[in-house]
Amino acid sequence: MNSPPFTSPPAWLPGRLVLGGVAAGVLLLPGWEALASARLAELALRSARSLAVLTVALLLAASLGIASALMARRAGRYAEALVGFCGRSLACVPVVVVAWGFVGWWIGAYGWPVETLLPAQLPELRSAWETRLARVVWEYLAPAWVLALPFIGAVMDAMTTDAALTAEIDFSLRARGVPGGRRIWHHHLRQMWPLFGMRMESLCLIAPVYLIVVEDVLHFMGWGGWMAQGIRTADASQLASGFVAGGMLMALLCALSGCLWRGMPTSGARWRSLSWQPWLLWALGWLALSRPQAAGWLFLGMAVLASGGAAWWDAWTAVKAELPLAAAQSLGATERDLWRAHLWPVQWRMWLAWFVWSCAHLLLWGTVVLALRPELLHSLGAPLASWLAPLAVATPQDAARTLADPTALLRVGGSVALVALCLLEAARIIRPRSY
Amino acid sequence: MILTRSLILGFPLLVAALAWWSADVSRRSRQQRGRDDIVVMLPQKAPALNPFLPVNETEREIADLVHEPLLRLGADGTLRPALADVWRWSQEVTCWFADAATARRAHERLLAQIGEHNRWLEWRLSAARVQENKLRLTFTDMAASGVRQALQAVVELAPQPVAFWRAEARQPLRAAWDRFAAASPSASQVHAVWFDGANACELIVPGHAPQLLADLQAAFNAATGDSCSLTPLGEAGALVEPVLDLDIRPGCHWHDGTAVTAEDARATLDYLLRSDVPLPEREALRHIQSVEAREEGARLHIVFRRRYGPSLGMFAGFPVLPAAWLRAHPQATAEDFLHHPPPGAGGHRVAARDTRSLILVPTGNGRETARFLFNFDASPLMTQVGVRTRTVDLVWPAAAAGQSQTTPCLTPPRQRLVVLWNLRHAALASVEVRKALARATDTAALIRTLPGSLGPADASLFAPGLWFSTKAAREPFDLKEARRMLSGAGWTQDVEGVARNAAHALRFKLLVPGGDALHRGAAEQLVAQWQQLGARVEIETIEDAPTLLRRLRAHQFDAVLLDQRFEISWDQLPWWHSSQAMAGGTNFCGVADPQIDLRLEALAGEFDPARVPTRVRELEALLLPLHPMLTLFSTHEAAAMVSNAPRPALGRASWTLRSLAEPAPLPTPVVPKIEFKLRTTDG
Repeated sequence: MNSPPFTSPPAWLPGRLVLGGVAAGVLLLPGWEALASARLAELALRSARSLAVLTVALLLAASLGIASALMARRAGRYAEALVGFCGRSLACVPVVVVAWGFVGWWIGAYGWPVETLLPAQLPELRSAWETRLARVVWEYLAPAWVLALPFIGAVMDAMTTDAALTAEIDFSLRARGVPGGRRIWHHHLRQMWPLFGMRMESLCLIAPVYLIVVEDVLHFMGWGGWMAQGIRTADASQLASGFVAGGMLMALLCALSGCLWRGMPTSGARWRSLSWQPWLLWALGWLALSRPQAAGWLFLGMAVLASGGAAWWDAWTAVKAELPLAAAQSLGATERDLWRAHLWPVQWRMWLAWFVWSCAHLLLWGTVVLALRPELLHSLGAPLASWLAPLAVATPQDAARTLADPTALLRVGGSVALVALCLLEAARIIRPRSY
Repeated sequence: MILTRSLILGFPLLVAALAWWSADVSRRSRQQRGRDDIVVMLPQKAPALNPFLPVNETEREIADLVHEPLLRLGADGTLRPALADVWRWSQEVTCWFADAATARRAHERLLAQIGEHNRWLEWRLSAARVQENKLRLTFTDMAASGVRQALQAVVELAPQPVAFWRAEARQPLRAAWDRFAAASPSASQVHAVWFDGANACELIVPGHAPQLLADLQAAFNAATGDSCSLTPLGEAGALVEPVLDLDIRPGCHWHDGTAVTAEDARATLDYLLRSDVPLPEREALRHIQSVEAREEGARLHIVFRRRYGPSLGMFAGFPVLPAAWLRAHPQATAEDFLHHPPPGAGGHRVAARDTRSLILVPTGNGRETARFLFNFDASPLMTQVGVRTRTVDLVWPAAAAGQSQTTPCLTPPRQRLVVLWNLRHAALASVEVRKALARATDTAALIRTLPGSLGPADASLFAPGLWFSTKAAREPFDLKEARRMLSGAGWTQDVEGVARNAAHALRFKLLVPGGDALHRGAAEQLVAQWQQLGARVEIETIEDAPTLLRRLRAHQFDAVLLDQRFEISWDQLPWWHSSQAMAGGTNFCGVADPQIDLRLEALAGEFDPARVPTRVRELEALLLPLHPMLTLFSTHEAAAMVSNAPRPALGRASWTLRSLAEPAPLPTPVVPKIEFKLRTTDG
């Protein structure tokens, strides 16, 4: 998942996420009977398992992303740009392809186990404490690694992109004789720390949604599996309780992120807090329940726009602040002249960049939807449906084919990633920057 | 800085190392598998394991591993001991006399008659005893002529007749009877009562008892608030009741350690008689008059209402549950079986059970050695992973396994598809026509093209695989020969290709039960195949079962496609006896032949399983040449066996889970042929 332009989270984000989750759950199924009828103990246990996976995955993504970005920075500008590009590319790979690719490679090619996908075993074969411990550890680490992979790319991209937002102190540090390692790992990292914290908080809203796909593919019994089942069966009460639990999960992750990366600036604008809500998670739920299915795709498009809205508004505000509007007004330019001469040439590029960026994300989120609701493939146009067909693994034959030879899936995943990357690069080129 | 760097670089390294170690340990532990363990993958939800009402074949077979019936079918299809190790039929004859003194005199007279020539063995009489005014005789042979001779010995003492009455009402009668039996002193005159459903019962009343009957009717009328009918069914000089004694095998235990007794079997039969579980043996259960546990729980004593030899087969059909569990769950539901499962007495016990898995381990009582691990709710991916990593031996159903690396194999058939001809139809009344239609039916093509797991079926009337199955050969497919036979019988094809004789065209309707793709597909193919012969067949689909049954009973059909469920019974009387050929009867085809009737009656009255094969062959020799039924194919369930499964038994073409659990038979040792002879001293 590629980072949107930079924006700061609202104050009390965890609380807002909890409230947002409850509101979405109630909206989906008015009344509290949904939560009462849900198997709450099971959901709580599943959520705890998912929290463990998410925490490990995000910490892995953060540490590996930071490490690779900082080492690239030390290696020079070109290396940093290359790492940034690789990160963007990695983040563009659909999570369903990562998950199925892992299954095909790990099990199909090498025959190594994934605990949650293998049949149960007879008691004495799991009696040794070492075996039991290893199985539990591997049960959690397998989805954590799979989930971490796209986020490593996102962190690499964020680290290299956001580096441009920090003050350039490298020259002065070098002049004072500060060693290279210290310049990067101490001074630069301290500059990046609050910005990185904000990036991590934005990833905390996306990671649980990716987890749904990962848990579904790996059959991990967590919150994601619960949601995947709810989406498949269009069970409103299951989805509503999942929204509430999801809001709490995200709140906990954001709180943890806030503890690790202190000193993050917050935004006071109330409408911005709307943008910092898990719209994509909610869109998946609404998409599962929507009739006709075309309306579901509309929900998804709106969710993509809403989730990037605040960031793009901030980007536009920053650009607009640097336009010589006051000077032109003082020289007698009318509102119309201002718009035509100064605002429009920049604004259309901003709109276009947002549109292209949204298209890229819509494509990536579309793969998530198809992974969870393969039957929605038929609601797409014929060329799009035939292109994305290998992503919909629904029947035993599909599973057997993918396990035996994941080439078709990887090919589609690669082409989706390439298209998404091209669109994102185009958005980066088109988007006007502040001077 | 050093700490930060160490944390950032060390954390992923630590997690990677941990992941590698854990994956490696997990992989190695997965490679350790017991040679005899069988891992089964099933997409279905975990079953309740209700042995009386299995949802599908899988549940039936799992329940068969855990629970044990009184008798069981052996690998060769014969009845074998299971919980009961000995069974024997006998007859109990009861005569009522005016008073106890007369009964004693009758007893003395009988003993004198026996003692004169020592006729105990000749009459097959094992016991003669007096109880109040009753003389009770027990005969060890169901066909003993001694019954008549013994009764003749006492007839001069004027035994009282025994009358059979039937009470019917629009309201349930059981509570009313219980109240009457408790309150009325005359109720003791009733020898036995048997309830036929809730609203009817039959009573056996010895002697002349008008007051009893009047009181009974009044009590029933008062209890039901309606007019109850009390009609006589018949009268006899003595009550002759078939009795089956089953001795419980010593040393049999439930999985919770308590001993299996006849009381458990009695409680199970009582539960089944009271419940409305749709058992295939339900009709046979109706013949039971009473059940008792005797000999301190070592013997089950079952008294039947009529002479019906095939009753024995039903004891191989359902398992026995503990009486204590049945008392605790008098109206046992699927939830009870799921959450408070009864302990079984089978070769395997449940070692662990949850919503997604079930582990069965052998108890050590039988020959079974294999352990079973069932994985339920398995997704297509899990199944594929299991097959690819060789951690699964069996995928059930086979469709869930995909195509690769597995061998499909079929379960034993539970039913087959047949066509019944209405012998009253103008064209189908001719044996030659029915035979020609059988010849023109290409069952191999049906099996090849129709969906599902289908297997060939023989022409026998009976289930395959039993000790009396005949494997009667069906008419081989030969269209030319079929045409020749038809024209030889005077049916020639007209210009439209329709076969005609002087009076009729070969046109008829094939009745097909609706809602089943297999029935529909089979009917369409049959119509096409018979069209080659010159028959014009129209398909008529009947959507609901009651309408279909009504049409069959009223003989309003030409031909009908039906599922024939296989049962462990040698009784074919309801389907082919001429007494059932009238409207409303169950002889749908309308076969009416006195010779066949005699064979059917003899078969239904046969109590010795060893003599059944001969009687079956005699019946089929008369009935099959009439071609009243055309067998098409049997339906099976298919499972996929992973090709490198470790057990040699997995290679069998037709199997059950039980057959997989048993070790492969050892080669039979060569027995030296030594001829023993009696040595005589005088020569």
